[in-house]
Amino acid sequence: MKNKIFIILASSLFLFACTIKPSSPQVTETVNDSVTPSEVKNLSPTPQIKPETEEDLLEKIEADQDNSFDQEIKDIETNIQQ
Amino acid sequence: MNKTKLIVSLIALFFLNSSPALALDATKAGQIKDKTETKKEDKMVRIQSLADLIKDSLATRYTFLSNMKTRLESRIAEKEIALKDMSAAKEKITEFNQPSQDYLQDLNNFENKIGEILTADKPGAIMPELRTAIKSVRTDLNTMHKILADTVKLIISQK
Repeated sequence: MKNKIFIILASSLFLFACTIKPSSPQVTETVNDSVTPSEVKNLSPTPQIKPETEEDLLEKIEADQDNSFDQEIKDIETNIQQ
Repeated sequence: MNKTKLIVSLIALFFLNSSPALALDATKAGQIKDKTETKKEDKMVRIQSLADLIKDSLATRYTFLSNMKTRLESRIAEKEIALKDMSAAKEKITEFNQPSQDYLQDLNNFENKIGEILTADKPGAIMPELRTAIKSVRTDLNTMHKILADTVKLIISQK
């Protein structure tokens, strides 16, 4: 009789234990949402395109360089003389 | 009679021996000729590629300056709408047309000189003309460059 009671109790305890959710330690993830001012600057939606000024145009024109073609002429001459 | 036969035989033997030798000489001469022609062709190809290099570089510069002229013209038009006095800039930019036409003519002359060099018996004699032709094209481009720079300065002065 005692044995039967023991078995019933033990199985009840076992079933009870199965229903309890394991209390695992809660993992908390901290996300660093803070953004530095420099990052904000980088995240600005679209870089603003500055309109081309006349000074920019002048700079571009002045960047155009003359070429004397001295080396190429020399090479042509060398080929002729060979 | 025997002597005659011997002489005829000797002459025949001589020709038999000499014919392959002559044929060999002809082959050698042909090979030398082929080599000389190949060398000449290589030289021509090199000269042509150098000429193409010069021509491409000049054409790139011409395209850049022509595009810049178009941009300046539209800029002048915009300023005029904004009631800015663009008369001086407009007058200046019209000067661009003459060196632009000269450029096309001088570039054509340069191409002709290259053609002459490739076909002439004494191509060295054409070299001074080629130098002058290149210099003329450069002068045209430099004039175009200066006109554009002056035009922008005139636009800036009316800000």
